[in-house]
Amino acid sequence: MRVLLILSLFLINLVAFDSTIQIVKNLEKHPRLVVVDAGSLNVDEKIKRKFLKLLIGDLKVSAHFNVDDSYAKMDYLSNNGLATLAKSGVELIVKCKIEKNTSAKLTASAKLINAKNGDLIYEKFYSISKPNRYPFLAHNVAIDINKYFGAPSISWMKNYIIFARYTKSGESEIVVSDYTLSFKKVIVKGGLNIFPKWANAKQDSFYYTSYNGLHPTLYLVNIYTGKKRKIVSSPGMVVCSDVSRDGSKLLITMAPNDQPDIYLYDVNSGSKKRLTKYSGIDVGGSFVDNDQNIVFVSERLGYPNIFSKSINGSNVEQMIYHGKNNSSCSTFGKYIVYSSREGQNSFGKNTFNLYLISTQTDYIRKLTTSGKNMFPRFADDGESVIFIKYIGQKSALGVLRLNANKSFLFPLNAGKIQSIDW
Amino acid sequence: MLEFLKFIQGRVMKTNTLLSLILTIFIFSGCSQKTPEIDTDSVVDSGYSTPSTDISNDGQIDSMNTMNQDVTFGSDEERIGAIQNEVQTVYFATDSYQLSSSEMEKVEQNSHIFNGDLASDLSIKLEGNCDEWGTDEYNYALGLKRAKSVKDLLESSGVDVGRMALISYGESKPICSEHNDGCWQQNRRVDFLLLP
Repeated sequence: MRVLLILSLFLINLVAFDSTIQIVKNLEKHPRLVVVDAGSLNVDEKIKRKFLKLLIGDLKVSAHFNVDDSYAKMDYLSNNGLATLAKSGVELIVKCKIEKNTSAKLTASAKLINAKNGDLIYEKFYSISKPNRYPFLAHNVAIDINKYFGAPSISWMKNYIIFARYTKSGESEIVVSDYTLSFKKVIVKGGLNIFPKWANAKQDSFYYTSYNGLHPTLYLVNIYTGKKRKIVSSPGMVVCSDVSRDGSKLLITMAPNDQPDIYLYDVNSGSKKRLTKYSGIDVGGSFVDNDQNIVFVSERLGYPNIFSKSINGSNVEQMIYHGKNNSSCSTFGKYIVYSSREGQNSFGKNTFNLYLISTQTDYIRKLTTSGKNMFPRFADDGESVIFIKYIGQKSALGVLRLNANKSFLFPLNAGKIQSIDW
Repeated sequence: MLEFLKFIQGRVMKTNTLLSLILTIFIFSGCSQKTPEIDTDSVVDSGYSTPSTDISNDGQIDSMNTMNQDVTFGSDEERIGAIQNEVQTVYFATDSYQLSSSEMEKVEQNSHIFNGDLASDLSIKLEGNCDEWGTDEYNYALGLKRAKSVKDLLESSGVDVGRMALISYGESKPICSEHNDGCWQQNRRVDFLLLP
């Protein structure tokens, strides 16, 4: 079975070497898997159910398994009931038990079992010192199961998402969450604090803009030590739009002379270089092609659209030739994902869709087909994209799995998202 | 002749403004600014300072020029509040930072107030705002360009550029929170904040 799965995943990778080429249907057969409740000790029943639901969700989002939704309960130690599951076509069983130990740590025990013969494939134990972070226990179990089968990594599931959300007029807060929004923690509140951006792949620091002083000011904050450093302030606006792969360079939109332009900022020396000089709006710089070029949003043609230029050159190239308002983009390597307004006016229905292009080819892949889909951001593996979907007056966090051609939505219960980073 | 008409218009404007100010003196509560609070439990420590707006309260005005000699204010706050009431907000079309002719007229009228004797010592903060549509960074840049359009016109109307500062609040400060055209129209605007 493992060989079959590995072979099928290899085939996926063969056809998916260019993510802009849409996969129309899944040719591979994924193993049928069921998550089984193997009990709990000193843990609230609601927490246990949420944990199991998250694990099922993670395995579905991986898109590498055919996950059964049915609820099943078994003893953790014995295999009673296994034959019934096998008879129903289940091939793999994930047994999970969670408990709170004497030191108040939350622990999870997980067994992966071959349903056909009852063989234990592997067993692993997990613990977390802060029980409210149980979603990360579930994500870690899913990551390991996926890893065992040699499937493309889903370790992005344990990354934090950071976002700013408006709480009322002129006020916002910055929140750290897991990718399903099940765990959320407000880390900056009071006043207007916006545009959070992770400072590095380790996610130990982030940049954000504070509007609580004389001018908008960009800060760098270490989330573990609390150390905070002022980077730069500017009249009008200042935003950290992107961080280079090594964390040493920033693309900042600022307006020292009332004119929003994109600047390259060196974190170590504090020096900055103006990259755009158009008299209208140039914003949202994003590194591309090994940080040698940037793509950015400009209204130099009379409406917001995506353009590119080299860090050192002056020539500007238009990247998108459709849509009436392409005002948000994100990059990974040679790929650009962007939001495009397609209706006749700003406020119609079904007007914002996401597209994927490459700087190396002319393919365009449409990623969404309906609704208002905005703020796309690549995960650090480049195979997943998060975005915000507006449904009526509510919004949800969407996860697009590019190679599997699947998307998942996680509702956001309170507040309007201002900006998001992964 | 045109210059003369403009001069007369300016004087009429000043007189109207003055009368309105006399009638509308009120207790002005200064802008409060919340001190940001950063969660110290797990992630970020405090140590965050918030510059105050530093509005002076000791500005009893008892000697004005000839035209304003009958006007007295208990404090700078009262004076600023009274002037602020006369200033008109300027609105914009969707996705645009161009001023329409009617909004240009409002800016012109505001310039007379800013250049008047009562307000000539005050700084002017131009705050650009947008409706909820548009994406994160672009909306903030659009708000800034709206404020810049107003600043340029004020400058050409004689307002000292050194008195003006710009800031964009993007879509973060809506006046109206409903989701319809009328409401969005109210949020695409530039506000004027007078500061000592």
